[in-house]
Amino acid sequence: MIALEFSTFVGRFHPLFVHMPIGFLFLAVALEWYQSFKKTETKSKLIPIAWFLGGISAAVAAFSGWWLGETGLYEEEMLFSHRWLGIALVVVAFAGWWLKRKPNQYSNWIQHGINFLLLGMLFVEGHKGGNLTHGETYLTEYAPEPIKNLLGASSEKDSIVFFANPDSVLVYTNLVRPIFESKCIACHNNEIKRGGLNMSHPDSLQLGGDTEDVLAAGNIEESELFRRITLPQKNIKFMPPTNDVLTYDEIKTVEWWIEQGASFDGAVSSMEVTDNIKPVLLRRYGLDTDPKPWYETVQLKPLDSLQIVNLQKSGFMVKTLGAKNPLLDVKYSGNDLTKEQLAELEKVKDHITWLSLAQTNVEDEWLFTVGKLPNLTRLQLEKTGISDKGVTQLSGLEHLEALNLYGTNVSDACLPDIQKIGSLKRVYLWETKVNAQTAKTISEGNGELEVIFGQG
Amino acid sequence: MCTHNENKNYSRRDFLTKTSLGMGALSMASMLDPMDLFGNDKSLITNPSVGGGILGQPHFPPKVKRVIYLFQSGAPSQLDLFDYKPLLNKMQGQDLPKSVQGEQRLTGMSSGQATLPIAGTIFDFKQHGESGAWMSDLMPHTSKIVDELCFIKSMYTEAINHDPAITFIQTGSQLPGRPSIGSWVSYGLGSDNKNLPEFVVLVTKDKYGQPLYSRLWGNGFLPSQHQGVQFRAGKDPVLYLNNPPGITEKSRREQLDQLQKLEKINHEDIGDPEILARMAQYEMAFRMQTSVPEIMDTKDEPDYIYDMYGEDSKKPGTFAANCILARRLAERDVKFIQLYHQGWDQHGNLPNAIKVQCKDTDQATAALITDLKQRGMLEDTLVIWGGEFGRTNYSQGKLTPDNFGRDHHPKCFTIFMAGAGIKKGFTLGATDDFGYNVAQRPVHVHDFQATLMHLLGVDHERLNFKFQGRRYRLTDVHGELVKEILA
Repeated sequence: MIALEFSTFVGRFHPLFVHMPIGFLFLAVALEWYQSFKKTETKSKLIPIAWFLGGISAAVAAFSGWWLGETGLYEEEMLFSHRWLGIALVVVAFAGWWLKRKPNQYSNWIQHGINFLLLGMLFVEGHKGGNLTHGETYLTEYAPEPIKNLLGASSEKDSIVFFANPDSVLVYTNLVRPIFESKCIACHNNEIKRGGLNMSHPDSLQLGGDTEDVLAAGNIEESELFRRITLPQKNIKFMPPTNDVLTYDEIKTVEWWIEQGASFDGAVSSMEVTDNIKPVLLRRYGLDTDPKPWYETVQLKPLDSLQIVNLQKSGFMVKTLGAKNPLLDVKYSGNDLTKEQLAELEKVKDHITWLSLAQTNVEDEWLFTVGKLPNLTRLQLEKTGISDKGVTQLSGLEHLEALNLYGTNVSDACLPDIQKIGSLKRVYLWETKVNAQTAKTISEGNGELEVIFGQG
Repeated sequence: MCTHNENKNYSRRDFLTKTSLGMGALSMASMLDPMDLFGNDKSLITNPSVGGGILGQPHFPPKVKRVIYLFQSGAPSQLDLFDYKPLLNKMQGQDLPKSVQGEQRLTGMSSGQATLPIAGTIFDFKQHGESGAWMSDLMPHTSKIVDELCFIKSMYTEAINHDPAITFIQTGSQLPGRPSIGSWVSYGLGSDNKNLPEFVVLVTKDKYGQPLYSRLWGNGFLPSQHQGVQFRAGKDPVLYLNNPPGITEKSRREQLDQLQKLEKINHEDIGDPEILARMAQYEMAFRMQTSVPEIMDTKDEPDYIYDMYGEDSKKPGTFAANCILARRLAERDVKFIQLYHQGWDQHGNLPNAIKVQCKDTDQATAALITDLKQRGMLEDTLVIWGGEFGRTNYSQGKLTPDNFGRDHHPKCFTIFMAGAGIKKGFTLGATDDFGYNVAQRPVHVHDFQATLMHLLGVDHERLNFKFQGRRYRLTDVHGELVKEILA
């Protein structure tokens, strides 16, 4: 451990030493070319000295660079070429010193050849080092657009995809794998396998590395992968060791995936969407995971307009929910409703999803018709003479979500019938004979059901 | 809005329409649903039982059937009400750093100040409810219902003065002349109650400050029956609605019938659609002679309702009384109910003035939301509370330990909503620690308008009106849906 720490300490001098050979070697070439331009007879003795100093400092830089590379903070592929080109540069620098010591022994071709070779290597090597340190886009990020195009640099900064609906999004393939790809797979792939771990394929990922329990399905505490990405950042085992750590949203996504069983083929819609992950999915991927209301999922053929006109002639106000939704919003106002009028609704029973009979003279028995509307999701009966007997007629409604009984004659006796409506989410019981305390117990019994009482 | 000389009853356009195309072409145009151009969304209901809007049906299922917009004119200070910024108290009196101010222009009222001393709030902030929303002590009643509310703390606008800013948030343009939100709603979706207008305006009586003009609820270039109708407190809720002494309902009816015939001839002759609009308004006024007194007579409201809305609610014309009226209008399916409450423009003496404003509005706002909820109306009603921009984090004028003022600040402000289709107990967006710039999820006024229309079932890009050679819409060429707040 100490050895590693010390070598890292040495390695971090690389950025300091690395500039010295650049200076010396440039000076050497510049001097020589200046002299040949001036056509001086004797060659300056400074030239071989500069080459020598360049070689020595390049060796020091290469040495410290080697150890910096060993810290594992750099992408393997780029590091490889930078490292070995650096060592080659040391060799070329010393070779140059050897040639320049006795300039007259070698032809001008060789003299200038080695100058060009060295300069070319310096440029390439320097550029590669820069890319390693600052990232490949550093140089071109702020380049004017034409230059960017010329270099083929892409200006795309954020490649997060927005998905349309949760059914078609696979948790591993679409959400988790892109995170691994951008943050982990550079060091954990088929070729490199740091720590013995290869994350590039589900099978190899499940095999694990030196630690076997990389992924413990459904258990984040036992999952080494999750532990590593959530350690304190200064911990030597923290992953990834680069500065490009996982963001909060990414960690939450990975956490949720493991909690939900770390499956490699599950869709978002097949997982339990916890309160923690819901805002992340919405914010990061634009995925709305709230279940859609029933009236948005029903697929029905539109009614023909004659049926609607007939309903309107019976005195109902009728609207379709929207251009692509043929379900109906039906309302009756007034005190002249008859049983026969209400029975007209049966003709379009599949299509009625919102029904308001509020403030009408509707009677308990008539609700028989209403109880037969299979796709009813919202029923307003407020301020009518409906009593408990009427509510019993509604227990067969399978998709009713909101029931408004405020200002009716219902009492505690209707509560069991209300409980029978399994889909019910909200029931309004203000200004009824229902006792607030009793009603509370039914909403406690059914976590989904909210009972709304007033303040009055 | 009149765009041509009133003395001529025959404009160039009317002439061209009538001579070159003729009435045949006009009726052809009305037979072909113009919305057909945008796909096969042809309305199923060709014969709506009450006045249908131009869309015939919403673009998609509406979450909200009606809106109550409690407009707080003058710009309430978000820093003293909702947006808690302890850093400002720590830096009390220091000059606002240039790096925070950035390129933001200031109004002429504070741009000449030698310093811009940071002014922390002097009110206590606490977190409330399960959602933990921050509220200052100025709004004790609203604080109790934060779990029903959805806050947007990252609103921003483009205008820096009241009139353009109010015009902007109400019509989508800083320049006067565009239709108000309520007018667009009325035009697009039509009416659910043929006895009342779709768009009703209530302005708190005897409040002063930045003036409100009726063009803020104007119909702009839309047919004029879509303008907001202002209901006032007192003997004549709607001006000139009642019959003059000596005219009976029967004779009024006869008069209207005869006028109808004459205007029909007139319309056949000239073809100006405004003739139809005017006749529609006459008929509406006739029906309102019965429906309006019934709305305005709040004697049937029980005492506990008055207690809930506060003692002001018994005084006609107050904000609280208007909140009760708003609920009564909503119960009768009025689509867009717009309240205005002036007096939030606190350039100086903010600590005292804001207390008065909150006393006017806090209890009634909370009561309205609670009352709608217990009646089951939050199922399909949306309540909005907010002003036209925010206020600065520095003091305009002298900063003393217990007094200061705040100038106009368009770069961030807070609004809240409650009701159908949006998340409850939710806060979207955030400002920086100085409460000066938006730090997270900026929401432009047009985005807010687009979202409002979306909740009503309208795609804001597809409700438009061709005027002076191009199509206009509420959000003009802007506006992105704020998906994060949708439930």
